[in-house]
Amino acid sequence: MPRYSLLLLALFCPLVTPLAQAMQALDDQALSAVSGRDGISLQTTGGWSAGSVNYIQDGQTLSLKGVSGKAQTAGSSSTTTLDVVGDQLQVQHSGSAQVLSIDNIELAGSSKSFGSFRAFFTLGATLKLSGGGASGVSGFSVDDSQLSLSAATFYYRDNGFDLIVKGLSFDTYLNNAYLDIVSGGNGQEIKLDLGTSRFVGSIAGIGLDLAHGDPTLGVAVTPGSPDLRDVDAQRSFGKLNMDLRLGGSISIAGGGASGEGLRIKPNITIANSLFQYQDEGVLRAENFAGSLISNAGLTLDLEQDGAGSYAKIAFQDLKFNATLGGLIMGNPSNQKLGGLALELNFLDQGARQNWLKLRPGGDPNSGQKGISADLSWNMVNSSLALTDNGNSMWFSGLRTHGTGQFTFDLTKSCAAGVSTSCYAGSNSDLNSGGYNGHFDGMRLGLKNVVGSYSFDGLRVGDANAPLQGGTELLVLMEIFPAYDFTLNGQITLKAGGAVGDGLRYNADFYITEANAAVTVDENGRGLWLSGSSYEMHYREGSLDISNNGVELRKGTYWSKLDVGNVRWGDRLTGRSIGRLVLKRYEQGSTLAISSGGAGALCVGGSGSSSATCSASGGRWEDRGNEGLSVKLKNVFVRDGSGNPANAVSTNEKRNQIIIETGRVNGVNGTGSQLVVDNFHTSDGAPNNPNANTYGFNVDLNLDVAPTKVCNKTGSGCTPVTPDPLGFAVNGRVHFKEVNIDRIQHVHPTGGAVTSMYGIKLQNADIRANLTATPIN
Amino acid sequence: MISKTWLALGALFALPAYAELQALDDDTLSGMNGQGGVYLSGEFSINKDGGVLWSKPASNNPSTWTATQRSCANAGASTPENCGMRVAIRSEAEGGWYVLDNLKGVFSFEGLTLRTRTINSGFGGDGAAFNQDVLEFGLPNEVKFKDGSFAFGVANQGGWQNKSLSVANGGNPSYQQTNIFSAKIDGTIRMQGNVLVFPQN
Repeated sequence: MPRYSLLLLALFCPLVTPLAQAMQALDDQALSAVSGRDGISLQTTGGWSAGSVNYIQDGQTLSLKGVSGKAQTAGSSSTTTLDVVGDQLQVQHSGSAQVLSIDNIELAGSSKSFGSFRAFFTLGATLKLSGGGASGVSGFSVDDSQLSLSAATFYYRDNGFDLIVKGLSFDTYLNNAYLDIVSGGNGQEIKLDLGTSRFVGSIAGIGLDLAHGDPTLGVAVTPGSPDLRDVDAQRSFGKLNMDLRLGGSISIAGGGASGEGLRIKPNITIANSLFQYQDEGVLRAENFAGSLISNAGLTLDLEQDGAGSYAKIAFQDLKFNATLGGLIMGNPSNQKLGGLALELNFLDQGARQNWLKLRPGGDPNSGQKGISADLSWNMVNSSLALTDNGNSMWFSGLRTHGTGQFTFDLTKSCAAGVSTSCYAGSNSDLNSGGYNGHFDGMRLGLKNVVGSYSFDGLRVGDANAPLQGGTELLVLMEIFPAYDFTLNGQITLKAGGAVGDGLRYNADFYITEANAAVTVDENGRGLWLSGSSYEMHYREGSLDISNNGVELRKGTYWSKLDVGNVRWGDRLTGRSIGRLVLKRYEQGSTLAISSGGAGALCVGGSGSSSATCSASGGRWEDRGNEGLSVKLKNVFVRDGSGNPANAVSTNEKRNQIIIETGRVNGVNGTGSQLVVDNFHTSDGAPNNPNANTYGFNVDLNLDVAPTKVCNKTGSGCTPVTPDPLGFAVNGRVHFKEVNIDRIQHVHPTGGAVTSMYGIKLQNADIRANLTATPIN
Repeated sequence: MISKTWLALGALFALPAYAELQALDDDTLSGMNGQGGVYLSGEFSINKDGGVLWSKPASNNPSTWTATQRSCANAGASTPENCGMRVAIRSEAEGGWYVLDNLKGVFSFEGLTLRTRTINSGFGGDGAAFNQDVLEFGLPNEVKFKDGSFAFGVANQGGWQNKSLSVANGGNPSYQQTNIFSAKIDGTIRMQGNVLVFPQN
């Protein structure tokens, strides 16, 4: 840090000195007489540069190489005026458009680097300082000060490719804000009391430039003359807007988790704020409130271990609480989702800790630049709550912990021909599961992420209601009530969705040593998919927020879920019904999430009004205009590689279910198998047998609503009054046609025989309209 | 929840003088509902408003239907009827198809429960020897059936086609299906007790 202040002093000295030479000291009387005049005005032009700016801590050095700052237009000047008005010192800064660049961010001792960084921005500030802090005596008041950053564009460059944040601007208004030096737990700390401050920010777009280097060698691009060589150069991940009303405080103290370092203690509250992400549709929280509190603080340290130097961000405790009221997903005029509340508690517990170790250089196959991170997290007793028409439901007792390595890089595949910094991999077939090259875009690599999560169950009505089941109803969406896993793989994102803004992705995930619960009780006993592996591949998928809500397109997707044992009782020792394998091959499958639940519907009868429903013997239930709807569409594609006689196909892109029992010593393939082979969907169109777009659909409407419940201890149905609240899931499975090519039986010595030469299911619309309440 | 359980266990071990188990009152029991137990109310239905492949035509005369229309009312009935789901199975490589056609109905209930349960006692002494976990489906006292129906038959191909239409219009004059019997179900069934499901590998 001392080097920063030296640098600043060095910068300002030449500007201040000529003025200082001509200045005469004024006595108090004379000074009071000049108040109200224009004060001091400084005009600065030109720029500055430094070969290296170093931050040294506990013997470790974080180095910014080739740092410079200058006006975007040569000769333009920034104006700073200093004035005393009343008992306030007022500093007004009106900056000219500036560009800051850092050629390389390094940790001393490593041959790799985090990459380079450039920022174009215009800075304006009004600082109003007066004596007296929050306690009224010492400290400063910074009330009514303002900081604004406008027309900002950031470039992060990794291996010649750019991540660009465009059109960023923010305004910070400090009201009733004070700066004090207070006594913290570990000595003095600087505390900024935020009072009732406001932060208004927006980002016009985030994009990627995957054309290597600059269009003209040695001439860096600017926001005014962008690099348009890449086809997706103009596309964006979307727009962000926020208007936050902040309170509470932020304290900064010296001394990290060990030795020197920095400690930041946030105690920030957010109230009555707005957050919006915009693609074609919006994701908007109209009334966003919450808090971010860490008592021990976030520490920043530079450290070293066997793998080299790293910057470590750690927190012993962190509590994040957010209420997203008036949540809209999709079309702003559509039905609302209701409210969503999060309460996340991160807490160190013995070896389960919360930290992030940032190391220079990303994936080993992605050059010298990029970011690697070792991550460890431990979240305890957290919850997620959904409020729908005033009724709330808590996913209670959410816990997760784990460790793993993550890498962040900007990468390019060699599919379009070998080019600088592309990586083809040793298996360069992009459409195979074994492809290990890179894709175009922003790549997040996952290595040995060993983690787990679980939640205790649902609480409906109020946060202390008895725990109940119902999460079982979400298993169709592959949301399990408990899951532990080892995850490897990658996801690479490109800017721009299927239409307009959004994102496109290619991903490969390998989950091993996984245990997932389908249903589980508080003692960990339930129905478990234990000893599972799950391999998933996505090609050309996309994610958009359209007027219909969140739309995830899976592109070409194939996967293999291999469950070693389907167990009853304990996840490791319960009795097993055997092994289950599910292979899927899909094209054009989608997942859509939108706001608005089931609305009004007829249970136990049919009819579209209360009267017709009752007349048909049903019960009319109105679940309100809020809630959540999920539509899953799976288009299963027939494997055209054929159905080999007397053998089970092992093609990776095929839809197949295998149930195996009676294995010898648990070795796969030694038991008897039942194989549902080569199943696929079809549109069942008589004139176009190959049409396959309708798929196998699962529609779910989720609501928190009252329902009729009987007391089971009596005979017949003695209703519980009033109708208790429950987790209402209105599920609908529909498809035009599902075909199964054959059913095979495999004996370990006798081989495979076919027992059914075709199954065809047509015209299905199956509905399950269930409300889960505690057992009475 | 867990803490309560531990508390209960702790009390068991810490107080050997009170070695006898005490019955839990209803309040304590209801407080101990774990997430493993769920009480479901509602309905399960198959094609209650028809299916998604065939829409209901205006008349019951097959020659007036379009390629995507089908009525499942009895031949000669005056008004058309929505069709249920259709399942066809072929048991020989070049053979005909068994067909379960027009499968539909609404089944509604209050109080289907689902939980995991350890059985290690009771059942006339068999429970102790059994000693393992089961999935327990607690049956609702009453299940109402409404407009339930199905037909069993045989056909010369898996997918249904309208034999009254030409191939060009999406039909198939050579299509044959013979229904052997059909059934309709309406009313209320009393179902009490539990269904226990457990693995036997």
